[in-house]
Amino acid sequence: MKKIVTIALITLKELLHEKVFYLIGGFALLAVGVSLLLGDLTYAEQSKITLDFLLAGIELTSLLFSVFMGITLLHRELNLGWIALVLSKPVTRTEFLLGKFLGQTFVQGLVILLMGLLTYGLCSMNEIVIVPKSLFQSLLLMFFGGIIMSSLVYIFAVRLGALLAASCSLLVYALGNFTAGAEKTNQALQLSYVWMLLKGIFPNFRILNMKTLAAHGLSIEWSLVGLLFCYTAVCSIMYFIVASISFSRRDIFT
Amino acid sequence: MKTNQNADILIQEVSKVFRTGFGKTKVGVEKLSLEIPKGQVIGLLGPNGSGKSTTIKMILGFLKPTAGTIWVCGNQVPSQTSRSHIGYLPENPRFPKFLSGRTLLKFYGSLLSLSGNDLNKRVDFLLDLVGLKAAAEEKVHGYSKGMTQRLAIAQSLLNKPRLLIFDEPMSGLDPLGRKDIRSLIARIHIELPEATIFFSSHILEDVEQLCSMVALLKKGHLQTFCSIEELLRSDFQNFEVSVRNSTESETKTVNGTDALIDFLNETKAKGWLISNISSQRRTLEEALFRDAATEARS
Repeated sequence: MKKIVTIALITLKELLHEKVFYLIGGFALLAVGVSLLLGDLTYAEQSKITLDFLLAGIELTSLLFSVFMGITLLHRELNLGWIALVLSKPVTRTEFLLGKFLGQTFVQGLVILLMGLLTYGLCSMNEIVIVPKSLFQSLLLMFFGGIIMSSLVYIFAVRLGALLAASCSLLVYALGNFTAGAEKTNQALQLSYVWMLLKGIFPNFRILNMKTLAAHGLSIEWSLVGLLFCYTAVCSIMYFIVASISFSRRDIFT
Repeated sequence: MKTNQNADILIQEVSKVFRTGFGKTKVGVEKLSLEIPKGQVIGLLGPNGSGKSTTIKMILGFLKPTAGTIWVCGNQVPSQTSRSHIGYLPENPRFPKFLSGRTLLKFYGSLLSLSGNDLNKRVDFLLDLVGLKAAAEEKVHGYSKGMTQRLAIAQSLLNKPRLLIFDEPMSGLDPLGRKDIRSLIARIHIELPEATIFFSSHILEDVEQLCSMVALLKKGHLQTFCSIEELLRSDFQNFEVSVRNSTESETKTVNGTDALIDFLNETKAKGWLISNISSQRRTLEEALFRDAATEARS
């Protein structure tokens, strides 16, 4: 466990030293820009649309963070050869991967929290009605989605090149959204075994989306948040196990 | 399969075949068997593509052999136990640039389950050993190639390993840097006399100065594995013989003791006097090139 925490802490330092604050800065600029653009709209529309935009911005940032940070972290290790010095120590590849994953997840949580605070501040300054509970729940579910996405990205990042890994991850993300959406419109699909299999493979990101609710100041039961946490845990562990097995079997040429 | 307790590395019938795509394969190493005894400094030689790095990476568990088994200090590879005995210096080591030398050593020490005062003392000792104490707090981003190499050697010594594996430790260094690393390796051998040092190199002069044994790989096959002395043994030795008579003098180089005896008999028969005989010890380079040339002729 100590080795995993050590790797996670180094990963955290790595992320804080490099890219993560550019993301936050970019988002801050985006948020201010969106607020100014929507300033001319009526009060009632501005409140909902601005918040919806801001939350969508956080979700998009979180998704990009999962995909690109996950791939960068692993590929940098493999391409620059840092991994050789770590794996030559009595550290298993699973411990290495888990350390990276936990470090990344922690920073991702921090980024979402900072962006949430920024959103709250921006809304308060512009007198936009915002319910802290619904904002927090929405951010928490985005974080859950980020965890699932990161574990999914690792499956591809441990085997494929950066571009292919990013494409595959985004494709699975899209398919996850598509399967959930298609099921909503076509009830007959629910009975199909193939469909059930697809549902098991592709994560359902739609159930983690409560941006619209948050924009309307609505919240959900904490018991439902608990259930969604369980769903996140099951999906992430399942994907992480696949990534870990795949990584343990591959040759490392560095 | 039995393991030899006197061997720090035991490679048994190991092959590695790489898939290069479209059903094509490339043999990295083929049926390699090697037994590295304890406490020796062993050089792994061979041209590019001979399988040196592949062998090292299989010992570390980075590459999985297609066939055969490898044992490190009595533990089958890959395993955490086998790696706990190894100190590894990769070819062209690179570190996360945002960390200082000291922080990096502490990080690697933590991965070896070192902590607290023990870790701090060990890090201080190693920084001193490799001459990086003054630069310990600097970010490795600013380190020169030589400093990076010395830091990499320091991290390989953190756990006082039984087996040190250095992949091209002198690669890319200037003559002064090479001399530093050579001295450092010699010092490590004194500090850790029980440890086996196994290193690959292209620079034969370094191997000749540091190693007690050499393994020569070629196209994935083991060509030679013997002591340096054996490789340079006297039957390959050159002698420079100076002879003279009353009017003229002459110097001739003869190869091997048999040729020397023949020449001396011939000289005596002609009535010439022998003014000097000196032996010319072959260098490792000459020995290896001669073997390669002999092989090419056959």
